[in-house]
Amino acid sequence: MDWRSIHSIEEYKVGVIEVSEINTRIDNLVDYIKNRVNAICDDWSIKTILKNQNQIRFSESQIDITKNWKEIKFELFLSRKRRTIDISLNDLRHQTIDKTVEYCDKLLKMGKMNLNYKRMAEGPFEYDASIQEKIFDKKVISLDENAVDLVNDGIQAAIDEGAHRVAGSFFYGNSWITQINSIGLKGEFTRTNLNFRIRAFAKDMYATGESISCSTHLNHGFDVIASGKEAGQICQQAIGGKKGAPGMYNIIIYPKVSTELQAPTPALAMNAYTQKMGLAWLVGRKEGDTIANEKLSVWDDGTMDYGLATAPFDDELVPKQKTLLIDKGVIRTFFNNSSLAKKGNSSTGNAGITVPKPTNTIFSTGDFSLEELMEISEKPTLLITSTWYTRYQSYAPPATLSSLPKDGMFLVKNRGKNLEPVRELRINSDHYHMLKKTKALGKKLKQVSTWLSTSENPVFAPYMLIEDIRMSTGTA
Amino acid sequence: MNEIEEIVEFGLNYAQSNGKQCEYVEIRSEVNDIDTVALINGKLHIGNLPLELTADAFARKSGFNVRIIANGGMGMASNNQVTKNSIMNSIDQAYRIAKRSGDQRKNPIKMSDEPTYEVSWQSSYKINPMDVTLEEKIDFLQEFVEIFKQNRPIEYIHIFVLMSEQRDTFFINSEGSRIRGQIPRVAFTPVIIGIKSGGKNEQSMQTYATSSGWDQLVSWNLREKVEKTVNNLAEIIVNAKAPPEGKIDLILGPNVAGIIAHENCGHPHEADRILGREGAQAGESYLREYEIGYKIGNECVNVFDDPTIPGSYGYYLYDDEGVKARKRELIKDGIFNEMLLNRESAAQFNTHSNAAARAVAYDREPLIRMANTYFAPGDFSLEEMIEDIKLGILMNSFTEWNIDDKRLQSKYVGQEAYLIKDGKLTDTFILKPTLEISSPGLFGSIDAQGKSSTLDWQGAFCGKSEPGQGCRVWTGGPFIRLRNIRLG
Repeated sequence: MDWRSIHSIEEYKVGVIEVSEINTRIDNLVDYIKNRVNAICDDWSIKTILKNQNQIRFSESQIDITKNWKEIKFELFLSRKRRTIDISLNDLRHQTIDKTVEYCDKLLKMGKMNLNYKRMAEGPFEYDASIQEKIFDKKVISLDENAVDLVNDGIQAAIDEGAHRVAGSFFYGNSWITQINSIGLKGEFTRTNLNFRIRAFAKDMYATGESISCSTHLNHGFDVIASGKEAGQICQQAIGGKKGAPGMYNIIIYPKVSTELQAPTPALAMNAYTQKMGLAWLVGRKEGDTIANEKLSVWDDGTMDYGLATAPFDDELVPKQKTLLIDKGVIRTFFNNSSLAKKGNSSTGNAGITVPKPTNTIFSTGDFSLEELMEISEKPTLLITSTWYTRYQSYAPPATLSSLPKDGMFLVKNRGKNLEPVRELRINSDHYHMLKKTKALGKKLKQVSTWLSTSENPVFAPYMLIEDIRMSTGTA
Repeated sequence: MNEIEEIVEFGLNYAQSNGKQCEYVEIRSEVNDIDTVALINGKLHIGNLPLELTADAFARKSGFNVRIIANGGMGMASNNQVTKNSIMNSIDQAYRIAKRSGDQRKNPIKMSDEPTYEVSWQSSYKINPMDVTLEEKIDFLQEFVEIFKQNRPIEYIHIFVLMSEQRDTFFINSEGSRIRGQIPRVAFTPVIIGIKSGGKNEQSMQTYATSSGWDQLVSWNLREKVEKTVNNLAEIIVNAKAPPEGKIDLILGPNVAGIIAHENCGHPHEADRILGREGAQAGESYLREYEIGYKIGNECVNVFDDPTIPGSYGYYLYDDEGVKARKRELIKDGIFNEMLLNRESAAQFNTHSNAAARAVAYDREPLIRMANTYFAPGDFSLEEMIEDIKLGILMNSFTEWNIDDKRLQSKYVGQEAYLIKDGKLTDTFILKPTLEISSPGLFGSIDAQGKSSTLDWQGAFCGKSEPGQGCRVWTGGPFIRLRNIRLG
């Protein structure tokens, strides 16, 4: 099968260089690199990433800068006698490639055996052709001038809800990824991406609201106006907030908050590499152990419709799949690659060849609307719309942390009939506690992928009710 | 002039011709090499690491970045294909998107007036860390692994990361500046988690970093420092006592003073935060509501930021907008004295840039960043600070910390902390003393800063912007004393 047969390059022009030049340019570069790494390695993989990405950044309701990035990048995995190197290469001058390969040759001679690397998957594999359709939208490619209009629509929606000023960013673009390896496997896909983040500010600069909209498709789960409205509404509700009282609360978190509080366990700690090396808070826990409330199940799903990390295959060209990580509170498996898969098991399709990577983290849903979650919460309850700056005292169990609610935070009164804005409260907890104390879930999933979040991958999460969280505040 | 520089010059000529009405053009090119070697529990790892330790840890990057102001809007385009065709395409694109952005703006973007320079600069070093062999780097790291071969009362997880890099830059702009920069950096980050059976644990993470070469790093007697940390973690886990209740006095060591200088002073003094430009990213600043001259803290408080400190991790002599670097006196005698400014924000304040614009790579926008932020030394020896404390704590290092996006409400959890009683420093470890305090509350509690002989630094990677830019900085200070603090 020709490695370009899944989709024609012309159809998915990435704009890195002229379409007519792409085939020759990439083929020549890949051949050049392949010939050199083949001479020094037993196993190798060459992943080619062509990016055409754009960002519109805005603040004070005006566009500050519009950016475009074009890049051809190679991610190389090199191995000789199980000594391994991962290297990113975007300096594509032949002399740099030669020098880099020569340097890697020395490193491979001097390095020690990587006991976490055994092999790459052998294949051959069949890829689900329908995945490509779920991650590529031609309309994103031709957004161009309309991107500014979308930004304006989002800004206006926030202002219509009472925002005094608005800041945010709109990322959009496409990537074309091709991969070959020493096993003889080849693959290719293209993906579009959209990520709109908007933060609304009242005249009271401490009253803010933030909302996110992200997808691979303009018409599936992507709505800048809804985001603008949500941000504007939260900031309006947050006006006049007072310093909250420290103590124990139930918290109801927006989907976005899960990227900080809930997703780090399935996205970081349930990585087979992290687990094996003892680098995270699930050290000592194994399949069959209960770590979460029975209402909570979590998947890593590289095939999720419109997921920003969805793709046909991973870095070993193993088909991506949906893997149940936590089954009704119980650890079912850790995501892995071929080398870290347990004997007799196959890879979960999460390579990184040396270190596995999460794809989309998917939480289970429940039966409750946001209003119902507020209604059923029995104890003093805070509605938390966003949080940031999560920091750990230690990655060792139970991963004690604190995290700062950033935008509108509300004391739920009369079972949700009234929301009283509060400020200056800090979440103090740990991942074990929060997973176990997750008592009820919202009905709908929302895809969130936020700026500098603890779990860097896309997360599909519902609203969640978590009980008994200690909130602290400053003493001066 | 090398091939990349010729293409960059060609690009500038192209941008200034062909009928384009550019108000400002700059082009930066960079060649950036990064090597990261790590020993994770003694096992060698070359490449990217999990758990936010490093990304693009082993990379060879080069490319250019064009910024254009046209029609009052700003456009940026970057490409790693350094050819005449690609630079023309990028300039056309940056010009087009700048004009389109300008249509949407009420207030046109301007740059402050600044002198132009034709100059080359570099940091001073003997041994470029990029020239050090892998064997030597592994030997360096292995020395720290040896620490754990002794019998110890607790178990340890240990990660030693060594990141070496070289950044060669060429900057030109439409005003006539031509600036070449060259800086190698090296950073050593030990992450050590001590765990007692039963699960009680403590984690330490430090960064020792320099732009003065490999020889500088290895001269710091790091083995002794790491070994002390290893011993301290065991002491803390096994023997530390609960902090005293009520109001106490608190002495913060250089490590803690440094992070406070960075988080509670440096960040809120960034003009882009004050103007709201980072509102949806790194946040704003509580100083947005105040003018220069606002009293932030006690008169003894001085916090400065200086990119020109030789050997520092945040060292540079010209920023990424071509402005000559100088020391910035952010808090002077307790007063909000100066912001960190780039050319765009300086124009808005009708003043000049103080050279705070930095980009971490060719494909990143230069933004207002700190360099080396520190509490200026005062007149006190540590002994003098301790002698009139009836009940207090000396906090030498910290673990968990965070601060809100206005840089007003902060939290620092102490790690290596000792009880001070009746004017004497005891050897009693205090478990996790927690300072949870506002920035004015903190600066208003300081009554003494240590002598310059106690000034010390640590390396750090400061996160800001979107896409994120982990900017190399130093944080530092002498010992500082806070009075009448109620711990959280």
